[in-house]
Order: sequence, then C-alpha cells, then structure tokens
Amino acid sequence: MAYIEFKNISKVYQMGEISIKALNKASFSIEKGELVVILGPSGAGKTTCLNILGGMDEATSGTLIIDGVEITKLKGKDLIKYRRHDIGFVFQFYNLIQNLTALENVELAVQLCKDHLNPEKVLKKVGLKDRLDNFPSQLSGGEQQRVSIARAIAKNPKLLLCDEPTGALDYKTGKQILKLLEDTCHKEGMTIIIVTHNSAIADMADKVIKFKNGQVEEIYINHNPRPIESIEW
Amino acid sequence: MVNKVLIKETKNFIRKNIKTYIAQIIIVTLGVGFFVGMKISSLDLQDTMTEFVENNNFYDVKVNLEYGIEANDISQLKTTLEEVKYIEGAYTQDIVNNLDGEDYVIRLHSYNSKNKINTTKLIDGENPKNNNECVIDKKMHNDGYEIGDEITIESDLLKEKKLKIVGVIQSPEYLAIDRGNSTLLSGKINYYVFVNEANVNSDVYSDLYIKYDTNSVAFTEMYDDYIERKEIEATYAVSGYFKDKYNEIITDQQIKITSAKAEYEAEKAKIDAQFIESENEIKNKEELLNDTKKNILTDKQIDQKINSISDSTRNEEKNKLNNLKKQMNNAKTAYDNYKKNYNNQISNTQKRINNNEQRIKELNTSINSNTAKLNAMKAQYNSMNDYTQGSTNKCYPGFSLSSDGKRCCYPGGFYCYNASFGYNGFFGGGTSPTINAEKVALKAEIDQLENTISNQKIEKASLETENISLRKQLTISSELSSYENKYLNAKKQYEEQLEIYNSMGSSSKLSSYYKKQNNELRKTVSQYEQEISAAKTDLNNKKNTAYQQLESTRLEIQNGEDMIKTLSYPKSYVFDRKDNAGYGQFISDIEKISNLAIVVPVVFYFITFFMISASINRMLYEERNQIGTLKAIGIRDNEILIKYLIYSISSVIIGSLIGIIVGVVILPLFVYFIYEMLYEFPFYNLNFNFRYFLIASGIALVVAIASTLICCKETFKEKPVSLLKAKQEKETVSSIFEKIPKFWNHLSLTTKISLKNIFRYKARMLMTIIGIGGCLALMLTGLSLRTSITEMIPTQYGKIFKVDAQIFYKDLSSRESLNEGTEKILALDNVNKGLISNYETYTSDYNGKTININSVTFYDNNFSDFIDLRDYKTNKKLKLDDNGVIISEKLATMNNIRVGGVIKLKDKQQKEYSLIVKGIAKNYIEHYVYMNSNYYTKAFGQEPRNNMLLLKTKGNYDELELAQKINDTNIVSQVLYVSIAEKAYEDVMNNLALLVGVFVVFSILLIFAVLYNLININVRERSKEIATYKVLGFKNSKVISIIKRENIILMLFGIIFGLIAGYILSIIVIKTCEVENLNFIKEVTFNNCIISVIATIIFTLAFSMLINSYVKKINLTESLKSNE
Repeated sequence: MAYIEFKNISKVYQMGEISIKALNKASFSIEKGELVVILGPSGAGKTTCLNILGGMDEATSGTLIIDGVEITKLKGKDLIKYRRHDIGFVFQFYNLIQNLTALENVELAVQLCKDHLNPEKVLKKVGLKDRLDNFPSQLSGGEQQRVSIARAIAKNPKLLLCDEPTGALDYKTGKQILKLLEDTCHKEGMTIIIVTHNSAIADMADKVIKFKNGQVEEIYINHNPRPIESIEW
Repeated sequence: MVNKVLIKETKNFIRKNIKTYIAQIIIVTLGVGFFVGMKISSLDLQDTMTEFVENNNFYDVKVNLEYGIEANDISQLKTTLEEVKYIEGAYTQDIVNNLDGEDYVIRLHSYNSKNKINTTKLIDGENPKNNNECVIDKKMHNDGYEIGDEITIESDLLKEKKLKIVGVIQSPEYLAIDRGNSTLLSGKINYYVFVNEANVNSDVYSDLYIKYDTNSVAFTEMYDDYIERKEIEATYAVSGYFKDKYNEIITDQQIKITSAKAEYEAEKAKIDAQFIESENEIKNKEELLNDTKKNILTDKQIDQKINSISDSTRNEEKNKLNNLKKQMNNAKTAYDNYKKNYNNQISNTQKRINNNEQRIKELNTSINSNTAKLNAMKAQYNSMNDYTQGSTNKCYPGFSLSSDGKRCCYPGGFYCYNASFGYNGFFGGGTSPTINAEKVALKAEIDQLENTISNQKIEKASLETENISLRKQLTISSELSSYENKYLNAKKQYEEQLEIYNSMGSSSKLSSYYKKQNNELRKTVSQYEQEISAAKTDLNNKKNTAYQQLESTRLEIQNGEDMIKTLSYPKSYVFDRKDNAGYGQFISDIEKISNLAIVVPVVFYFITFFMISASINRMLYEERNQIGTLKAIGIRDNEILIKYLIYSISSVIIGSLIGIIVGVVILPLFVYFIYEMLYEFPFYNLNFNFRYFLIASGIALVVAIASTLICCKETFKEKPVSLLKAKQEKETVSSIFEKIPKFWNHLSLTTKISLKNIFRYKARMLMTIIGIGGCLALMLTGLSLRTSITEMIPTQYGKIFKVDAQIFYKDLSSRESLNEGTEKILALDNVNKGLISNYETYTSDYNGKTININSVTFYDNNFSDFIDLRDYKTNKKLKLDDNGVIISEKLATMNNIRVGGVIKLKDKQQKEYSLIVKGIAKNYIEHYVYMNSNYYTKAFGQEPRNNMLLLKTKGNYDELELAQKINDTNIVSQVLYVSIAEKAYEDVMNNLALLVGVFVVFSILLIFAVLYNLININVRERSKEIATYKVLGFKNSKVISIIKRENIILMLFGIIFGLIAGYILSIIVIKTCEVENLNFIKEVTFNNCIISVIATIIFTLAFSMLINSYVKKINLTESLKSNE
C-alpha cells in the first residue's frame, strides 16, 4: 500500500439542475517522501484534488487513504483533527493573517500541534530571520509566501500541499520558493505535492500527475529529478 | 484550549476598528444606562419614600369619626382589634387664617412627643414643648416664615393662639408639595402646622390612627392585601363600638328632652292663664260688638220695617209716645222740684260758707296780731330778771343781779360774785332780792294771750272744717244728677219715639230714621272695634314679652329633638394610605417612571441587536478568507468564533459598566431633581440595585451573543474551500423597475446602477432603512413627548382657561353685601368682566386610588369667554343643559365613560353622587366636571353656593396691587391668579420636559452611533465594487454620487418608515409616561415630524461624508484581490 492512495475519487457540484464534475473517478498513489507535481490546465481539477487531499473538501465518491487512515470516511471533528496535525497547506495568495506578525502567523499554526518545530527557527530557515516582527503588509510577496510555507512546515505535517505557490511571484522569487520546497522535501523527508500549470517545474518532481477534465490523464515517474536551479522557463 | 495568538489578533483587530467598537459600546451604554437608570430611579424614589414612611410610622389605617373619639374610647377599642402595634388619637383642624394680610388654609395637627404614629421629621430647630410654640412645614418656611417668627392662629381649638415658630418639620402624611384638599375656601390646603397637644382645647380627638404589627413593606402587594383585611376589621370594630355608646347617649338625651318639655308646657300654661281674663274681656266685647253689628239694619230690613208699619202700629207708637211724654214730664217736674230745693239749700250753704270765711279772715287777723303781741311779750319776758335787786343784794355799780338773784355779774358774765356780798349786804342790812313781780304779771298776760290765740285757732279750725263739708255739699249731689239723668233718659226716649212716630208719617223719614240709627250703631261698632284692637294689641305686647323667654326655651327643645332625629350612629370613615393624596399620587408617578423604563429600552435593545448583527456580518464578510484559512490550517470553529464573541461581549461589558454609572447615579439624581417640584424628599437614597444591573447587562449580553452566533452560524457552516473563494453571488434577477421600460429607459446609467443595487442587496437595504427609520422614530417620539408636555400648559391656560383670576367669597350669608362688593370689584380699573359661579371639590375612586376632581357650576351657557369647552374629538363648542354634566377628557378615558354614561363623585362626607355625562371636553390639566345650576340642584339636592367669582382683566397692572384692591372690598377671602397656577405647572412641566430631554439626547447619541456604523458597513461591504468603478476610470465624485444616490433613496424610505414607526411609538410612550392628573396632548405634530425628518437628513448627509473619505482612500489592489 502506497503512502497516499487516491482511488476513484469523484467530486460533483450540484447547482440546481446542472451538475459539474470537478473530478471524475481520478486515481493515483504517492509514496512517502516523494515530491509530486500535479499539472493541468485551468479547471482540470487540480485544486479540487488538492483540497480533498487536504481535508478541506469532501469527495462525492471514491476513497482516499493516507498512511493507513481512510480520510474519506472522516467527518467533522476528525477531519479538522486530520487537517490540524497531518496537513500543511501553502496557498497561492499566501492567506496570512493581516493583523499578526510573521512570527505570530507561524506561532498561530504551531499552537495546534504537539510535536511542532520552533517557529523562530523555521522562519530563520526560510530566511526571514530579520522579518519576524513585520506584518504581512510590510512584506514582499516572496517574503509572505515564505511565511506561509514556514507556517505550513512548522506544524511538522505528514503531507505538505502547495497550490500554485509561485503563481503570484516573479521568476526569481518563485525559483527561490521552489528551492525551499525542494530542500524541505529532501532534507526533512516530507511528502510534498505541488499543484501548478507550469509544466517546466515538473522536471524537479519525483512523480508527475497530469490532470485533464477531472481525470488523471497521465502519471509518470522522474527517475532523475533535476534541481530547480538548473531549470529555466 | 484558547489560542493565545488568536486572542492577540483579536486585540489588534479591535484596535484597528476602534471607532466601530466604540460606537457599539455607546449603543450598549445608552440602552443599559437608560433602562437601569429609569428602573433604579423609580426604585430609589420608592426606597426614599418607603424609608421615610416606615421610619416615621406613617399610619396604616386612619379613622375619621363624625363626633371625634375620646382617650378612654381608644383604649377600649384597642381590645377589640388584633395585631395592633400602636393606636393613637390626634387633633386635626382646617382653618382659614390670615397671615400678613392674606388668607391661607392651614391644617393644624397636634404634636405629642409620646406619639409613635405619624412622627414628624425635624428638619430645623426643635419640636414644640410649650403651648405658645409651633412648628411649620417646609412650604411655609420657604415662603418666608423663619424660626423665631410669631404667628397668630385663629382657631377656637387652641388655648394659646399666639405662637412662636420653633422649628421646621416634615410629616409623612404629606409626601407631595400639593397638600391636598380641604372643605374650606378653594379646597386646597396651603400649609400644615403642628402645635403642642396640650394647647388643644378639646377632650375629643378628631382622628384615630392605627399601626399594625406586620412585616410587609409599603408599596407592595402583600401590604395592600393585609391592609384591605385590616380596614374591614377596623370598620366593623369602630362602628360597633360607637353604635353602643351612642345608643346610651341618645337614650339619655331623650329623657332630658321629655322632662324639659313637661316644664315648658307647665310654664306655658301658667302664662296662658294670666291672659285668660283679658282674653275673656275681649271676647265679651267682641260678642257685644257682634250683637251691635247684628242690630245694624240692612236696606232690605229697613224697607221691611217701613212696610210693616200699620195703623195699629202707628197708634201703638202714638200711645207709646204719649206715655213717654208723660214720663218725661214727670221726670222733669221731679227734677225741677228737687233742683229748686237743692238750689235753696245751695244758696244757704253758700251764705254760711261766706260768713264763716269772713269770720275766718277776722280770726286770722286777730291771731296774727295777737301772735305778734305774744312774741313781743315773750321777748320782753325773757329779757327780764327773775329777781330784782334788794337792798342787801344790790350789786355794785356796773354789776347786775343774776336771774336767780344769787350772784352779781359783770356784763358779759365773766366775773360774778356771790350776791350775798352785795353792795348793801356787805355792810349788812338791806333787803334780799325779790321776785320780779312785773315778770310774773307779764307771764299771766302771756298765758292769757296764748289762750286767746289758741281759742281763736280752734274756732278757725272748726269753721274751716265746716266749710269743707259745706263745699262738698255744693258740688256733689248724686241725687240731683240721678234726677237729671232720669229726666234726660226719659227725654231721650221720648225724642226717639217722637222721631219714630214722626217718621212713621213718611217712609223717607222713617228710613232716614233707621239710617240714623244705623249710623249710631256703626259709630258704636267702630268704637268697640277700636277698643277691641287696642285691647288686643296691648294683650299681645304683654304676651310677647312674656313668651319671648319661653320661646328660646322652646327652640332649644326643638333643636334637641331635631338633633336626635338626625343623629344616627356617628359615621366613621376608614382610610388607608392610598387615600392620602400625596401617597396615592406618588404610587402612580413611580409607576410611570418604571413603565417608561420598560418601553424605551426595548427600542434601544432592538437597535443594539440590530447593530451588533450588522457589525458582525460585516466582519464575517471581510474576513471570509481569513476564516477559511484558519479553518484550513485546522483551527477549530470554536476557536475562530471566540474572536467575534470577544468583540461583541467585551463591548457589551464595557458598555454595561459605563451604563451602570449613568443608571445608578446620574439618572436617579436627575429624576430626583425633576420630581423635587412635586414631592418633598427628606433625603436622597441612591441604591445600587444589583438585580437590575444583572437584568440589564444580562439582556444586553444575551442580545450580543445571540446576534453573534446567529450571524456566524451561516458562515461557519461553509467549508473552508468555499470560504476561501468569494461568496457565491446570488442569481441576478431583474428588478421590478426594469420591467417598466418607459420609466426605466429615461433614467441615467448611474441611477440605474443605484436602483439595481438597492434591489439586489435587499438585506443591506432593509438594514439601512430600519436603522435610519428607527432613529428617526426615536427622535420623533422624544420630540412628541416633549411637545406634548410643554404645549399642554399654554394650551390649557391660553385656550381652555381664558380666566385671569379666581376669586373666592368670604361669607355667603348676606347676598346683598356680596352683590355690592362684587359691583365694586367689577368697577375696578383693570377688571374687564366677571362671572359668578360655584366651585366645589370632589373625589373619585380609580383603581383603588383617590383622585381629586374640580367641579364648576355656571348659571347658564354664557361662560365661553371664561372657559372654552370643546368636544375632545370634534372640537365643537360644548353647551351645558339641565340634564347632565360635561367632564374632562382624562376622566372619561380613565373610567371608560362615554356620552350618556355616568360619573360617580364623592363629597367630603364620603357621600356618593352619580352624574349623567352629556359631554366630554378637551382638557389637559387636572380633572373637571362642569354643569349648570339647574342640574346642580337636581344632583345635589341644594342650590349652588355661588362662592366663586371668575375675572377677566385688561391692560397692564401689578398683580399684588389689584389683589389688594379686591381684598379691600372685604367680601373676598382668596384671590388666585391663574397665571400663578400656570407658572407652577410650567415649572413642573419644564422639569418633566428635562427628563424627556434626556431621552431625546440619548436618542440623538444613538442616532450618531447607528449612522456611523451603518455607513461604515455599507461602504466596506462594497469595497470591491467601489474599487472596480475607480479602476474603470470613474471620477471619485461620480463614484461617491452612485453610492450616495442609493443612500438617499434608502434614507427616504427610512424616513417614511421612521415617521410611521415614530408616530406609533410616540403615542405609546406618551400614554405610558402620563401622570394621573395630566392628560398629555396625544398628537404628533407636523412641526415635530419636520424637525425629526430634517435632523435625520442632516445627520445622514453629515455622516455620508465618511463615504467621501473612504472612496478617496480606498486601496484598489487590495480590494480587487481575487481569491482564486
């Protein structure tokens, strides 16, 4: 059994008489410690898939098993518990709490978990040693995203989910972020899933899952993932 | 587990939105403060008065007895009652007293330091110890009477009438400044004064006070129930006791009267007997009179008589005549003969008399000369010596012999010597003195002369005596007069008969004869009549004098009898505290404040709920993304919810705490200040009432939590995913307007946008309308209440009462002097016209309380210049008729009486009258019943006293001067200027208006807070929209105008809603705040509507300025950030 088993998952949105199938019996599996990139055009179902992985949304049908736990069977409080302890989420638009400093933003997430990492250390690790007491509005986009990542990492989750983490960043900053993720994956051994529509990034992944129209079009394994510095786009 | 960081975030959040937060606190403060404040105010007032009333043992039950009650009655009565703690008697008397030139009604009370009930609170000075001391009330003190002043109380109840004021007190019987009614004068008591009980000249108490041993506290229901039972017990006990007692007295009295009657009858009989004789005489004379009258012939009778004359009659008469003639002649002869003899006799007698007189004359002369002679002789005799000088007893020359011949004396007699040593004797020889023979001879002569004189006198006397009897003979001769009379009678008879006989010759002669006879008879009759009437008058006078004394006794007995007839068991009237005017009024007033405390805060709390909801909703919307994030991170719903709960709960707690200060201290003090006009507060209790604080803040808390949770529920239900995205927009539906192309196509784009927006975001629209409308409603209510209160006075005293002064007559016994005096008053310079009318005061029961009613009676319908009575609904002028009364509006509505119904009044003796209501008049202050004199007589069984003169004045004048001139007519006891009563009420109303002003201020503050919040919310909700407009290139002013246009349209709807809601709320609040004896004008005036509308518009537009700054400052990128 793989670390993550995504089996025949469908997500249907019902809007009156119209039903929209965001995911249509999608299936894949992911091993522990893998850096996975999910590709696909807009509306393909990538974000939906990530949301289900992160316990933020419920599948209409199918099963999801992560580390032996059937996530799709979890409801309400258990789902929150799962999100709390086992998932780290990085958003495209950072979604930091505007009224808290960088450090506080990380502390916020850290208070939830038992064996978490030291927020200050994590922030230092992401290179924001001098930015601990700044508010998000005082940080640049890249810095904000780093705080967001720090927040996610500090929880010491099983799974780190990133939804277009570089979507709002420039080329250079984006690469820096991806490097950070790469390092986290390789050094800390964290399972990381990145959703993007930038196919060039796929080269850094261990596994690439291609979505199209709500279904997994293709899965291939990269036996020689390239370090991000060497990737150009 | 509370997330510390989240708490920190909350703090930051609050700091960032501090203005909204403070606005919320203010709203809570207002709601809590007002509610707590009003409730606590009423409780504080109640607490103060309760303390005062309980500390001073205000009576539980008061008994007023028709004939008073004695001390031993009281102690006996106590044994028949249960649970009595104290039972005491006291003296009370209402008097009219003249102080410094004006008449006042003063209620006197007796003070006894041993009394436990109705003890007075000493404010200044000390209590009266001596009979020449008294204490006065606050009112009198405020009117200028100081400790140390001397006043004279003209009461027959007091031994010592000149009293020195030694202190100022307050009695629990008078909570209100209005001292209540009296039977005297205008009915209002001006002051109350306590005098020493020992100074009271009576052994009968006028009032009985009872205090029971109960734990129940004043003003509570438990107390009311207890007292109801006790009143019944007391009523039976008292009436039973006195029934027995007075039966005794009546029996006693009846015995006395019976014996007095008997005495009277005896006395009367005695007097009557005295006059019986005279009466009999008069009776006899009257009989005689009647007989004589009978003899007067009528013409008919005369004719009859004439006709009955026949020949034989004539012959008879002729014979009679002849006989009478004979008789006459005989009588004459007898008389003449006798006369002759008599005359001879007379002349002889006269001769003798003359002779005697002559002789008497002679004798007189002789006597006189003899007497003179005698006197001379006597004189000589006396001068002579009894002895002559003998030779041996000769005296020396110069000396003369003394009368006894034994001494010789020097003239003057100062030296005498024994005659034996005389001139000759000394030398011996000579002769002894000899008796003076001359003297002796002289004596003999004297004696003889005396004899002669005496004989002469005797002779004179006998002659005089003889003459006296002779003279008598001259004058009296009854025999002669009897002869004469006999002759005269006979003559008369003859002549009469002659007349008859002669007249028989002719009927005319006869008739004239009879007529003559009649005349004589008539003369006799009138003479008799005169005599009789004189005799009667004389008799009556004598009788009157005699009976006068008797009469007064008779009257006394009559009075005694009448009194017994009217004497029923002395009526006893049992009262409890509610019947005390001040107490009753106070209960209803604190009810009003308490009611206001409920009605108004409901509105405030509603607005609070509303505003918190709006704020929370706003926050939820803005932080949607954040909430989603937190949820995504795995933070539980509860932890996220805490932030919003903290926000609303903290604002409520802070608001409540501040509200408490307002409610516990500021408002109650203010309410005390206002009610100082009506009541005398002995002290000012400020209580922290934990219960109401809990209730007030509890409700606020519940409101806050409820609104927060309700608002959050929706949002928190959503999945993190959807929260991270923008809220799903509703389907667009074309609004009504778009379906009317004609109307729609003419509008500008911006207007179309505005209208579309309004109809799309219905919730927001409703919020704004209700928010603005609610505030307008509050403002309108406050203004209406204020107008209602302040307009009442000028309307009542300007439009309804056109009278300038009310004058009460002093003494109603002499109508003449009253009319004279009234003429004088009407002739005064500044007096325009006057109207005499009748004024009484009555009471009526309403929900167990006593209310006071004024009654005015007019002679006819010509009173509209003085009082303008108009129908309370149609405003048509009302007229009085003989079939009923017109009552004031409040009376009718309080008792649910319509035209045709009946109003029940009680007079001071507690007798009840039912009057038919024929009309209901607009009236705002106090209660009135109007009627005409005919109906008054019908209803009360007696004519109206006409004790009042209503005046209209003209021109400028000094009130005091005019009052003085009116007083100078001496028929007036009180002059009450309407302007003064008006001013008094004005003061009261102004104070009430201040209380309302607080309400208005609160409303305005609320409006500010609400408008600020609303506009903030509205604008921030649409930040994306605004940013889009700006990005598209709309000028700031254009963007602002789009938003403002919407707000204006909403504001207009809000105004309409507010006017309607405000109208309803105004009427409700006015009705709730009304005091018992006032009828607030229940109108929402056009002016007030305009004012509130304009104020709302101004405030709304002013706060809309916030929009300007927001639009200008808006951060475009942030607002336009998408979440996808």
